[in-house]
Amino acid sequence: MTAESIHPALLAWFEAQGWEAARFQRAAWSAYAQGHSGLIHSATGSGKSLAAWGGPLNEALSAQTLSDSAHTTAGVQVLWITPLRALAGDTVANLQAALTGVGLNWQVEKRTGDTPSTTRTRQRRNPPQALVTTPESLSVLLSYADSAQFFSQLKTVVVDEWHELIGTKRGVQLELCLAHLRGLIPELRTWGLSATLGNLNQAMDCLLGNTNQGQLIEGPAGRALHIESLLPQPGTRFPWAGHLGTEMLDGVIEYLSAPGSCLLFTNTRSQAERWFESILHARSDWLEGLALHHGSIDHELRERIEAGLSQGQFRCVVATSSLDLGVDFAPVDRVVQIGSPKGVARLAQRAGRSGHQPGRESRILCVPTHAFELLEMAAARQAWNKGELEARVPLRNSLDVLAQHLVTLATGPGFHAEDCLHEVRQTHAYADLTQSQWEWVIAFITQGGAVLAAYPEFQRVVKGIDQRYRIATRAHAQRHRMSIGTINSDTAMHVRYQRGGVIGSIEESFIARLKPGDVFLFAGKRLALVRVKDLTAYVRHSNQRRSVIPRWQGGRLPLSTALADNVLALLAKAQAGQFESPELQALKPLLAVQQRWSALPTPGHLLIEQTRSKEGEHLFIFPFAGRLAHEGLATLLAWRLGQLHPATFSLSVNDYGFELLTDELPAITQDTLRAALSTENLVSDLLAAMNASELARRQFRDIARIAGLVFQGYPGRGKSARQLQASSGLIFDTIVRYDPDNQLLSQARREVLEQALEVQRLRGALEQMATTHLSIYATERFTPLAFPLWAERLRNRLTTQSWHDRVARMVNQLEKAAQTT
Amino acid sequence: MTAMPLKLEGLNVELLPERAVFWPAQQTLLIADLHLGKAAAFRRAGLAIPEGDTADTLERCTQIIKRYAPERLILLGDILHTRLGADPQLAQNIQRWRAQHATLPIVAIQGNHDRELDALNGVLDCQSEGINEAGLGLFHHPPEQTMVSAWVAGHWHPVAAIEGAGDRLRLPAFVLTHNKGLVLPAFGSLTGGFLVTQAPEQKRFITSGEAVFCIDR
Repeated sequence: MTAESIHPALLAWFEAQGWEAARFQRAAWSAYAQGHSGLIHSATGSGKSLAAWGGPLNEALSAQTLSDSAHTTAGVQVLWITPLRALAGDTVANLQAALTGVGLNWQVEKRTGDTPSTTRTRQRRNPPQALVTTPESLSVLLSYADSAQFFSQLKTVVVDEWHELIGTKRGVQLELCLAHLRGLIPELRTWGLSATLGNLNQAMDCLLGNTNQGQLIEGPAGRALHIESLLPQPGTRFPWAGHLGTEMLDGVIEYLSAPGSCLLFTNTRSQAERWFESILHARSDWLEGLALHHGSIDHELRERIEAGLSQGQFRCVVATSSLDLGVDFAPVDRVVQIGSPKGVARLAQRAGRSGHQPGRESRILCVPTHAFELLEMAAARQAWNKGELEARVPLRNSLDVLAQHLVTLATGPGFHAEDCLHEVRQTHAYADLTQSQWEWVIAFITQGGAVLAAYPEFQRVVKGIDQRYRIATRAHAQRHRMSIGTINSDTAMHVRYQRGGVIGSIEESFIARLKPGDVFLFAGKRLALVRVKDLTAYVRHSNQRRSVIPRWQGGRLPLSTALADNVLALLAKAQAGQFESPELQALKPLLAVQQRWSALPTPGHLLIEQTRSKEGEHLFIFPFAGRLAHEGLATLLAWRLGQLHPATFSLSVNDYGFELLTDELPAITQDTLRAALSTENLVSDLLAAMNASELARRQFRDIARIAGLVFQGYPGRGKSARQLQASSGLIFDTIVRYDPDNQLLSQARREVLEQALEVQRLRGALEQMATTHLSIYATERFTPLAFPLWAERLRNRLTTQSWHDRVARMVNQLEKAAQTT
Repeated sequence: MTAMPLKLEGLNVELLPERAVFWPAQQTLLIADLHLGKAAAFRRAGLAIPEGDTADTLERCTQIIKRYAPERLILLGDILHTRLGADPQLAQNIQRWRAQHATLPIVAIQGNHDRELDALNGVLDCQSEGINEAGLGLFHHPPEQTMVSAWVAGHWHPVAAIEGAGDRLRLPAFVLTHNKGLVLPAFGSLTGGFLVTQAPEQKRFITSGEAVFCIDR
């Protein structure tokens, strides 16, 4: 863009801030001015937001100059989508700062699920020029009859953190909303902001749909990244398994003792709680300078912590992925990662929080929570140096999200089938939606079932004489708006002191397991449960030492293929006697034990170990395909072995391999294993196996909620809502039995295959195994690789025995146990 | 099918794997919580649940009547999931089923869901409150006060979880308290469960569909 076409006010503001407009920012502004859409990708903190915001500002400033008055444009001009409502406040402040800086008379406001209804009503009557919102709130906006009017002045949509949305159903929901907006405003420009991904072009295609040719704009090259590991002291016994890794506490405390601020990332909220408490216990004098930040902590407290971080108030903030997203704060001096980051891109993103000064490199210290994570850290460094970043695979044809979206449109202006199908097919997610899938979804929302099995009493969406589909009644409309959204989470309960003051929120399923008086660790505090009432858990402080830590769902990502491949390559080197990195040096004794008791897994050799214990017979297999593919492999193998001899298996998986445990294994030979691991009938066998297990049923929870098969109810509607409550499991069983052709069942199976089991990766692993040598070892005890699987204890079950036999066997065992005590 | 004999304050009853109780001395069959018409009620509210539960529940009733040939059937409440008036089809289905067992006396005790049970008067012998039969109290809600006599009730939809050998199951359960009160599992096909955990003075009996097992000693 030439200097002349950038409005002087924008340049002047940049200058006043001591900034110079970067080349990628000018490129984005120029593309915007020419009417293009696109995707801007770069590292955190490089000025992506202004690259996207500058375009609309520039345009509005020019228009303002032309109209030669303080006249303000009416109506929403810019829609800014953020993945987390917690980020909306920051975003509003940042956008506002720029508006004030350039002297543009615009309003910027946020609208999220937290926005009070009076504000929402006012916003619909008198909308701000820029509206910051989430994908769910955008959907809600489309569910009003006058949504076309509301968005009639819209010029552009900016999607922040698109990398967080792509590959999720929220991303799909947003794709549908964007297609609808483009239907209203054909010249609409869409701009995405993303961190670096392995599939940026595809990410842009998803964002823009079929209608747009976009521009991919790359930010400044990232800083150098320095990955190092905290090594265990020579001679200390290092745990073979475990999640929390507090054994490494002394080393971390020492690292934190240096002056400057530090962010300590963990992979799960429970790990964050444990680390916060341990650091505080070791250094109570740091109390003032320590903070805990995770998704369940009250958002006001989180905002205070974020503000404190910017002002350098803290020595150390313990955080989960809640700080992965673009919360804007000054870079810290050091970043610590507890446990494996599971992916190269994520590690780089976290490391990017440190050392923003020009010319300084980003540093990250990785703290292993068990011995083998050292391998993953060495592998992450190797993958980063080779530029191997992970891709985020977008979802296709999610009929549950489509059903919800169509009901949203029916609740709003209504839709015409043909036009709407055309619009929906403009998205990447539904580009190849078939006519029969479309008809099924229409039948599902209008008749409650398959095209032929209509239920006269069913009410949701009806077709008017003008051929438009509209919501049946106001009550249905209200209920639908309440349940818009696709994020799956357990019902959240407030945690509140008995004397007042909210601490945060916790999943109901955790609270349900506590009795009054039980002590748990939350938000860095020891709390005793007093009572539970109206979705609130009332607590008081406790001094009791023994406590439990909530285990939150989610947060268990599989090891990426990029990392897994590099791990195996490092093991092959170790086999050849090469221990090049400090991590591998530290692991040398442990790898020697593994080699002595069994062998090292290397490319071309599939390691299999068989052990007998009091619990039964264990079979360990190590394909290194990531925990999700292992879940599928374990299920498949258990099912196929179960065909030889009916049995019930417990399955345990981690990123390196899986374990089958059963009373008695059939004889394991090269031949039985080859047959059981063949790719023949892979999908049909997997599906058969999954029917026996509960994976599809579990997957259905999400789908049932999104498609509107379960009604979550809302506060203050106690009894009448309760009459409509049924668990998704019960509904799943009912549909399997009475409507087996229901497309949502096929979707549940497909999702289990593609996402929960990573079937492509699984097939790849099986194909590889077909040509590798099977090294079977009978081991006397659990090897260093087997032990973590045994300790994992998060087991799935698969059985080929009848229901009755399972019950009888378990009761039998209970009775035996009762006799021996 | 293996029933489990049980003594309630000296009264002999049998826990049936079909989620029912047989009372030999009175030749009476007891079941609780049918929730007929539940899927249809969901559909009226816009939840696309397929039909099948009501027919299945009634068919299973027919089967146990044939199998145990009782002289009387007593339904311990929550026979209907919602108002009968909203669902004319349901009233027809119930009458058709009733006609198949025309000679069998059927007593229906009103539950909290049965807001229009009166509409079935003449089809069933409807009782608005619990009744006492030959020393056994029969209720929908388990009584809160200590009862002098033995009692049987429903309402809770009890289920129990068992674990062993890495396996875990949730199964419908009978709950016996103080050796005198018995809560039945829900009989309806589309009914969820309330998890009952171990407690003193309480025994849980799970059913696999083929046999009943006691899991508390």
